[in-house]
Amino acid sequence: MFWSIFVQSTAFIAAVVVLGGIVGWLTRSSVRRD
Amino acid sequence: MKIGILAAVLAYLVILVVGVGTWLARRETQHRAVEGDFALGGRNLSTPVVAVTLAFSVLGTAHILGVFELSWTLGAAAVWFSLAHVILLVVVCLSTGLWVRRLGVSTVPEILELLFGEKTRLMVSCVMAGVVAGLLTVETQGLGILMSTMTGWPLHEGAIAGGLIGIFYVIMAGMKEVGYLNVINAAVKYGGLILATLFLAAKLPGGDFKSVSDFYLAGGHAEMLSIYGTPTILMTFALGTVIAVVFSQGISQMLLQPAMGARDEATIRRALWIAAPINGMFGVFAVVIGLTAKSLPQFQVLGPKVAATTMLVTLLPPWLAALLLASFLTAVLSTFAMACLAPATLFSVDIYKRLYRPDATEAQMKFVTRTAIVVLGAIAIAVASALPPILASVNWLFSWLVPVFWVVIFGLFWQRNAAVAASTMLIAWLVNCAWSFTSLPALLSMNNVPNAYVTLAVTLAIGVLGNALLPGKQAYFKSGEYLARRVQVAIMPGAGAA
Repeated sequence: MFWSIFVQSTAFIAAVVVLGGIVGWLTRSSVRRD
Repeated sequence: MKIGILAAVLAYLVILVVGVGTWLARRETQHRAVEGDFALGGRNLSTPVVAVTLAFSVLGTAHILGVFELSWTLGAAAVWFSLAHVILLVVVCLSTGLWVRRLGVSTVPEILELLFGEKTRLMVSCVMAGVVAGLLTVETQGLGILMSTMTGWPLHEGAIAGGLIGIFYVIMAGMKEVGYLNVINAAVKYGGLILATLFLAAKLPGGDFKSVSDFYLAGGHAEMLSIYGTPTILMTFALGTVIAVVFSQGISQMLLQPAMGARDEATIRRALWIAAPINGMFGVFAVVIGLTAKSLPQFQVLGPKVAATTMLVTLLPPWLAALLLASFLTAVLSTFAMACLAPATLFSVDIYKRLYRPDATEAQMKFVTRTAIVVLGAIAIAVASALPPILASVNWLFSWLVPVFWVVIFGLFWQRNAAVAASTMLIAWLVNCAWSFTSLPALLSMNNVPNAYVTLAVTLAIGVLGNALLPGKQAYFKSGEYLARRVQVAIMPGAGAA
């Protein structure tokens, strides 16, 4: 039970974060550095 | 009363708060106090501090005690409360968090002033302070539940004791110390949770969670073991939670304050890689603990609210139970601290400094912020002692921020019409109240539709129609005012309000 919930959640979190990372990388030129 | 556990938990808190406070004070004696130091950490917070503060400031009562309770009825799908926050953190670290840092603001209502003028700012300021203060009462209830578990006191007395500890915790140093304390707490909490899960498994028949799975399978509830539950749960609870969480907390002062205090925008973007997994994975352990508590008859009889915490205190070795309760308490305290600091900052910046003392010094601002924290904490204790229902309160409170999120998006990227913005928010707020306090949902046969869906629909309908039909000023990010603001922020990065 623990591992199936762990794997399902990790897969979702990894997918969302990697997707976010890709969007962030594609839009990196819009980030300001003060 | 479990005096040993209570003493260990309180000792942990005092040593942590005083130790980190002394270390920070010594380190910074030579630094000159600049504006925004107390509340925004001098706008110099590093990636780990921003990340852990972001992850922890939304990891409070609902994530721990709420998920324990939800997993009782929804099973593993209760983890969607955590997964919704993962999506929220992506939105904050890639958009709203960057924008507030870029604009150099100290409070969310300041953005509203840049976009729509002073009246809109004051309107949103009052509403946001009220909403976050409302969430503070929920956190105070959470502190009460944890104090009751340790002391055996009635819940309302636990809430008073918990609230007093919360005020002590937040008033000692402000944002910067809470940020550092969170980094330490993250390690303690994760160590504690992983150990607790291992020890819990060892106490179960066979030394693993198979007996828990068997309990649900024997009852014909295989769906309780999957995070996807049933299609109905996915469409109502999971999707509803994602909408409510992303569009309300995405513009919330409580969550954006760490982003405002970040060293730069790249720091906020990098924080995503740490903040999202920390926040998301917490739900996994909470759900497993909640499911286990229900499967054991001696704890099942206690009901969903206290079964899980009682099980942990009963089954785990005392040192681990103390460590775990200390880490839960500090997680709830972190959210309590942010929920206290955010409206206190709104009050000191948006009302005290803006309306009464434009020339206030950092020392005066610190005094006003601390006074506001004590007053807010006292009010929260009073309300929490009356124990209003938690989930109904959170649902209603979150929905107040949905129109603010969209009005800011429209103003930054589409066009700025103050009348349309104010009407969108006012009508959405009225509908939100009507949805909670009148029989409107029943009249429309929409009893199961949550407040967030309704406020989102009203906001988009009025906001899109109003802006399409009526003229407005140029989108803020395309305007000359924005370029002037950029120059001002670059010259005085520590300065907040215009």
